[in-house]
Amino acid sequence: MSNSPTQAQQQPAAPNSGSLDSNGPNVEDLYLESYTFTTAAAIVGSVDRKTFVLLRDGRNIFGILRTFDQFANLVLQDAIERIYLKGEDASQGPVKFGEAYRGVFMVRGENVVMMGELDIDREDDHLDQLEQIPFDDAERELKLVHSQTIQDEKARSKRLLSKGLINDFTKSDLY
Amino acid sequence: MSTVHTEPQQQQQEPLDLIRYQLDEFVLVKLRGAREMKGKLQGYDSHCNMVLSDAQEFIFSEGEEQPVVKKSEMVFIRGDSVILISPTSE
Amino acid sequence: MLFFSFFKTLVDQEVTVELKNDIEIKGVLKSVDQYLNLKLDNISCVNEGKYPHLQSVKNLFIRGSTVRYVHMSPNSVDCTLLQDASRRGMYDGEGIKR
Repeated sequence: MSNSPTQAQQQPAAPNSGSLDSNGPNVEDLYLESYTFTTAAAIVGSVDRKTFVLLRDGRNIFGILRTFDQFANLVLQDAIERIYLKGEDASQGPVKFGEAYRGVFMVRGENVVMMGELDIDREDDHLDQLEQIPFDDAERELKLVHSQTIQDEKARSKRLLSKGLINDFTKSDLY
Repeated sequence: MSTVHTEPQQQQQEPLDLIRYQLDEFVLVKLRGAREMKGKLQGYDSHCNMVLSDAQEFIFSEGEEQPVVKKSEMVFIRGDSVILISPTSE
Repeated sequence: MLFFSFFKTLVDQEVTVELKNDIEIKGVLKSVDQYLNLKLDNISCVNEGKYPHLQSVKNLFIRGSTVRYVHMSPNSVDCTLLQDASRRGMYDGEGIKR
């Protein structure tokens, strides 16, 4: 439904003057060419696949992509939210994680940072080296990390501003 | 009624028209995130999206240290990070 | 629309996308749309260890608004064409024609 012709046509047509000049208007070609470079076309291949989505608030969601629209609003089935936590050395990768089942999960497009298809044979490989902790504990710890980040970044913004530099931080962006 | 006041070349100028004269010249772009980028302006649009070649990025820190410098032969900069664009020498 | 057209000319080339959160992702540009959302294939994360869950991700859809820079090879850019398109672009709203 999300990739129906009507929706694709709502997108402003891509500049496809190239084919107009040479071959004359071939309606089917024009339609196909303008569809190739739409948001819908970029996501359609991932439908019914296991997908990873990073949200602007820093959440990692893993689930089966069932549908989407031209704004990248998404619906995931059997979604899992996973929190990765770093160890003492924050410059290194995560050392532990917690996860929770979220079931059907709808995401508003503006909150998507990135999404990608997962290789289902390898998706859990990286978890081997990580310690699993209860989700509630992970969530609590993450909350502390986030409030620390917000505090640090605010202080940083102030110091940078005094040097005539502008920080790029909004507290809703914690990805 | 239809008096012509201006020659075609003297159309009213908008700020971005000044940037047009910087095409193929070196510019300094000040960016959010305590960054600056110096490079040869190859293209831009009305959102201040731009492409620079032979670019050097300077990432400033809060302290007194020298900025970190990164080089890029060809880079696209998204306009929403741009604060100002200024002509510069190499 | 100039940079929409510009990115279309870069399809199938390798690019490195730097996001506003400092992640750098290298991959083959597969698609772009009017919002400059990008789709990359064969991705690898420049700081692999920091984002281990990206190791099993095959292709990536990146929302345009989270992009800071896109680095590319100078050989894949026609500078004269881009400069001309920028000069004209301000007036007729048309960019590089593919």
